[in-house]
Formats: sequence, C-alpha cells, structure tokens
Amino acid sequence: MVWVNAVVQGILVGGLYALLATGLSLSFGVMRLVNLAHGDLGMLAAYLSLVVVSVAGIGPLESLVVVVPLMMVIGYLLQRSLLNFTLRGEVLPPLLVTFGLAIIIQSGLLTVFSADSQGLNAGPIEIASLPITDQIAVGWLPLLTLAVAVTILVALQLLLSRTGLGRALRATSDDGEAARIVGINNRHIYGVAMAIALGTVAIGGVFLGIRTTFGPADGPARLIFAFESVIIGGLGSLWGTLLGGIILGVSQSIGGQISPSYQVLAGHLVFLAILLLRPTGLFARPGARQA
Amino acid sequence: MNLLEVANANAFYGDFQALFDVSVAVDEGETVAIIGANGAGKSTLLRVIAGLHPLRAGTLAYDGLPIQDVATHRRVLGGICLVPEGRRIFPSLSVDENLQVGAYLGRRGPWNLASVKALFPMLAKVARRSAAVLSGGEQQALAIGRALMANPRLLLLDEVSLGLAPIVVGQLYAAMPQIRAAGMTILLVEQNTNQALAAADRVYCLLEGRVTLNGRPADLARSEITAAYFGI
Repeated sequence: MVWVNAVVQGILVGGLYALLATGLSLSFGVMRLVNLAHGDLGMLAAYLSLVVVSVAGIGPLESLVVVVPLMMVIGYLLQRSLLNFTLRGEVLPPLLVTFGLAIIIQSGLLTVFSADSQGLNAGPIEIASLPITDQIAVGWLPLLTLAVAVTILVALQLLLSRTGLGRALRATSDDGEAARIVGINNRHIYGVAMAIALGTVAIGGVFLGIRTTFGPADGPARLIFAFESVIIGGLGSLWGTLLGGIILGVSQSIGGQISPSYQVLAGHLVFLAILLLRPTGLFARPGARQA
Repeated sequence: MNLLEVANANAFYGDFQALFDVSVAVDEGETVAIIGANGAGKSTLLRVIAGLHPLRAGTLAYDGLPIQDVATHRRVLGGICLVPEGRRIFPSLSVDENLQVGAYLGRRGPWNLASVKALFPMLAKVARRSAAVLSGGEQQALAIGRALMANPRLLLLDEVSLGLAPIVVGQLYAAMPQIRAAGMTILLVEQNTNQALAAADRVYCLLEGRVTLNGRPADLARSEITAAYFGI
C-alpha cells in the first residue's frame, strides 16, 4: 500500500512540475527560445507573492490575482525589449542572455530579500487532507495544484486550437517568416507567448512557495525538473508536458520510497532512460518545422 | 498612377549583390510578370517588396508612399500579400486554419473561406485535413488562397508553377482571371516563360540581378526574350 501511496503522491507533485514546465514548453514551441531564467522567474513570482501577502494582508492563493497579471506584463515587456533581439536564428544568444537574466534575478532577490529561506503560508489548506483509504490520504493542496495545472492546460489547449490568437501562435511556431507574410507581427506574438509562459510559471512558483520553503538561488534546481518534464513529454506537446511532470513526480516518489536519498536521482534516471529510448519524448508534436 | 514603384533597388546577401539598380513599376489592376533564369534575383525582388529582405539602396513606393522602412505585417495591412517560394504553408494547421490565419488582419474584400474554396474546389475537399499531407498542387492552391484571404491589393506570386505537373499548373493559372476580375494587381515571378507571357500584361526580364528587358508580350520578339533571359 505504501507503493500505491507513493504513486498517488507522485502524480500530485507532477501537477506542480507541469505548472513550472508549461511556460518553458510554450516559449520553446513558439519561438525556439530556451529560457534558462524560467525557474528564477518562477521564484521571482513566489517572492512577489510574499510581498503582496505582507502588503495587502491576503493569502498567497489570493495573491495570484495580482502576481499572475504582473508576471504576464513582465513577460511581455521582457520579450519585446530584450529577448526578441536574441532571436536572430542563432542558438547561443538566447541561451547566454537568459543565463545572464537568471543570474540577475538571483542576485536581485538575494539583495532585496536576503538569503533566508522564505515560505508562503496558505493557512489550514496546507495540512488538510482527504482520506482515500485508511492508509492513503491526499492533501488538498497537492490536489488543488494538480487541478489548477489541468485547468490551465485545458484552457491553453482551447486557446491554441480554437481562437485566432491560438492560430497565430501555432502559425508563428511553424514558420515565423511565413507568419509575417500573412500579417502576423511575430514580435508581438512572441511577447504574448512569453506573457502566457510567465503567467503559468507564476502560478507554479506560488504553489511551490506554499508547498516548500524557498530561497533566491532555488530557480535552477526547479528549472531542471521543468526541463525534464518537457523533454519526457515531447517538445511542443502540452499534454506531454503534464504527463512528463507526472512521470517525473512518480519516479521521484517511488525512488524516495526505496530510499530518501534516491528521490531526485530516480527522477533523473527515468528521464535519461526515456531520452535514450525515445529521444523525441513521448508525445512530440508531428509536422512542425524544426528550427 | 503606379501602385508599386521600385526604383534603383539594390539588395545583398552578405557581400553577394543580388539586385543591381532594379526598377520595376506596376499599375493598379495590371498583371506584371518577372521572368529570368534561376538565381536572377526574381525571388529576392519579391522578398524586398514584401519586406522580408532589406533594401541596401534604392526606393520602394506603394500607393505613392515610401514603404522601405515599413514592417512586413504592416505592408500586409496595406494590401501587399506574398505567396512565397516553396509555398510555406503552416504544416501543423488544418487547411481551413491556414486560410483563416490568412485573414488574420481582417482586411475587407471579396475573398473569404467560401469564395476561396469556390475558386479552388480541391481545397474544399480537404478542408479539415492537416496541411502537411496535401499534394504539391493543393499546397500551392492553399498558399494562394491564404494570401487571397487577406484581400490584397497587390498580390505577389513567387514561382507558382515550380515543381508541379503541367496539368496542375494549368488549373492554378486558370484561377488567375477570376482573381484579376475584382481589380487585383498581380506581380508574378516565373521561370516558366510561356506561362508568364500568357498570363501577364507586361513582363520584365531579370538577368544576374539586372533588368535586361521589359515590355508587352505582344511587342517582344522571341529572340529578344531569349537574349535577355540567357544574356547571349
């Protein structure tokens, strides 16, 4: 029964990984931008939530109403004022610029908030749980995290498949120059994609901050899990990213059950195994033009 | 008045000069063809007009206004639409979605999903299919249809016949009169000289980045065209 429990907990934590990974997947999918600062931007959102909580006196979940739009605006401006200039077809400039951005964010957070670990307190929901059997109980918070992740992915999927903006995003992802030919301002579309990406990682960052303590330098470690979720699921597939997050979460949870020291290692090993057996990931989107 | 006026256009790929002082003018409602061998600079000229390739020197005027510094998507808003070489349809979108994305800017005019499919019945049959699985002819029809969806004033057609069977080329060119009927101005690039001469009111011949000949097809002797085309 402990194994079943491990799997259930793993699935739930997978929701959090998916939230952290969705934006990474989207920014790579639409503009071939590997955002090395993605994890740090998630941490920035957690700190912004901390500020909103202390200033406005509301809970961290309520603070999302402020933090998510704020991060979306930051994402749009960041893309239009900086990251667009790195997208000239070469691989290295976006990597270097986002790497630098990651360091700037970490240093900035360290300066403003000090190196002390922080935590977001969401109140009783953090420890409340729903008993399934007498040996398995699922926490409301992880359940809420997974539900939010699924809801966001459904909403994003609908946006991409049903709306004019979604068509423009997919068209730009397929072929940026052809998108300009049909009148799409690809720089604006990239900004919108980054706004959505940072909106989702903001939610992930805040949920992460409620779940565990966090510090200014925690971004890169989170980025690795997000990367692994994206790669396991297959580039460009949102559902693949959710499944990737869940596979990673379950692997870590089972590894942790074997021995607590295997928790992170087990996740990496499963990631490597999948990379070896299916280098394109489980749900790579067919048909898209490779950059 | 000329709808499009390209004057002394010079364009480069790095150090390689692709266009040398090319001047081309197109009247409203006219169909003008640019012929020339492979590498003559025809596609570069269309890319310059569409705003995909920078002009190093020279001017570009559309509807009387200079547009060389105007972004591609704004030129589309003004009615300049390119059907690019290689079709460049969106493979992960369905046929209908490819057409819908063509109407992204919402310019008003006679062309919509229904009228484009009436023009190219072959697209109606595959409307919901992924554009990636279409035949070459269907892809080319889709690329033209996608450009029409923007209701252009100036339609730029790059190598419509390239890589297609003659019967398919015939089908696509058969749509030309209907496209012109509403007063559309067309600038087309062709390697297939016969096709171009048959479709156009006027032709320009490019050779190694320079205009070597221009005039009405009826006024040009075959030998003149051959000489301008091959430079012999």
